[in-house]
Amino acid sequence: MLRKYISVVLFFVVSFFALQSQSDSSLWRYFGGESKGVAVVQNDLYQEECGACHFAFQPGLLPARSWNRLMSRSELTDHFGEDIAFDDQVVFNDLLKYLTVNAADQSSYKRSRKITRSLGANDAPLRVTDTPYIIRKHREIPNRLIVQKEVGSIANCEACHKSADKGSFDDDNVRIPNSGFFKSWDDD
Amino acid sequence: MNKNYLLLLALFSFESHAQSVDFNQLYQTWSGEKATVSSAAKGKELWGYELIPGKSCSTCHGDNLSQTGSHVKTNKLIKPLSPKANSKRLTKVRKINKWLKRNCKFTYKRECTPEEKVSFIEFIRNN
Amino acid sequence: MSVAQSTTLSEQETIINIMVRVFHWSIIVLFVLLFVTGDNNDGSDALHIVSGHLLVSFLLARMLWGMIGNENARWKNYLYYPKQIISYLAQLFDTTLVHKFQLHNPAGSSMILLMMGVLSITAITGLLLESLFEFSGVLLFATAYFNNDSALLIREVHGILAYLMLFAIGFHVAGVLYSSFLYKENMSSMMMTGKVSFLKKEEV
Repeated sequence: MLRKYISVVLFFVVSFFALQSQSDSSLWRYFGGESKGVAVVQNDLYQEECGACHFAFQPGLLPARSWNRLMSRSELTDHFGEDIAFDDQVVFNDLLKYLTVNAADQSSYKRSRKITRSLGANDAPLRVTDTPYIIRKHREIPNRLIVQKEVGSIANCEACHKSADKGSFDDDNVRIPNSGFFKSWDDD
Repeated sequence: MNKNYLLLLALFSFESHAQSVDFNQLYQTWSGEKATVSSAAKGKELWGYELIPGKSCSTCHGDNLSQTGSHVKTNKLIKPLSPKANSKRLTKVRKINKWLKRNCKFTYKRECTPEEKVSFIEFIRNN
Repeated sequence: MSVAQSTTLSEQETIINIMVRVFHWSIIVLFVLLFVTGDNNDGSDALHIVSGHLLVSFLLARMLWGMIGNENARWKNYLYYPKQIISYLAQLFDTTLVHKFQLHNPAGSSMILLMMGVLSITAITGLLLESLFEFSGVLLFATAYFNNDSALLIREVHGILAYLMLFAIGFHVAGVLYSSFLYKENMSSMMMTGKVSFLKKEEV
């Protein structure tokens, strides 16, 4: 009878470890202090060149193949409707290197890993908001809250993610303008 | 030793002075264009002109250059353009050229003519 | 039949095994934690996921114990034909009858099976959601079979099942209270100690 007790308890322990080992949210990750969010932007050139017109999207939000695609000649001359092609080859090279070295598929940060795993091997979306991970995170938000004047579009991370510049996109720091105290979209 | 050191220091002080852009020289590099009395006024006139609907200089930078503007597409806040309000404006030739190119492409889908560039810079300097 | 139906239960006899008791109270704590963390947020926080994993482990262990464990814990004792369940329910509220203490009567047993079922499906959908939204966990391979819409559907189902479980728990508690009244026995403390608190006399 004792053997039965032991085997069931062992079975319990093994199944728990099996579930936890494959998970990002495991006890040892939690206490081991893994890097949450994405790595912050620590490059003045990138901040200036790419963060002047829009939020300086951290390189860890897209895989290297996306950044390579975005920085190609054809994409730079039509950067979401604008021609931003670089004259200065040195600036271009430095930016591209910064982006690809710190890309999501090169990063061990939590969000970067999830973004990477949500993509197919050949997927290279140009928009940060086009990865399945991020699409699903934002799917339930009513459109009226995204197009409202205070936000504008889904690309305006900082409008709702108050700690976005620090690389933190946690729910705790999300405040959607005009969304009221309670989640108001069940009755939309 | 002391004399050389002082000479070096004097040279450096000229380099690091904030208002180091020689505007006339800059305009020269743009096909020999010169600033005229009416340049700033022309710049002001062009400021609100929408070649593409919804896209003038004023759309993002505002009419009052001492105020913070916001990007028409992304809503990103843009620091004041006036050198009086923002001491970093018009201090680096490389940046002036870069932004003129990028923003003229944004509003006119082409590079600005030397005359247009002078008008804009004169307008910004005097506001 | 099970030991529970014997008419001479002594006070010292443990009729509910320690494994079953530990399981019962553990999943109550876990369910509360899960419900609270799941309702507030989108369930992505570590506490919700770790508790979920623990719950799955407990469920699996209990299922195994019900196959190899002590007699009373065996799943065969919980199985009744629908006819038996209905006829039992029919006489349950008949106050003219003297109700004999039965540890796993048809009503209680069916409730337990139902709760195990609902909890299991909730847990499985939960594991699936870990892969569909967090792109981590043992079911990561399953992301290939779901698109954005079906992922959201699974999330809806998971939420509905959680509330269904809450409803079932309500029923279960009502049943526990009623049978406590019926058998003049504190069923909750019996689940704690595993022993009956009265000396069984001869019953009809």
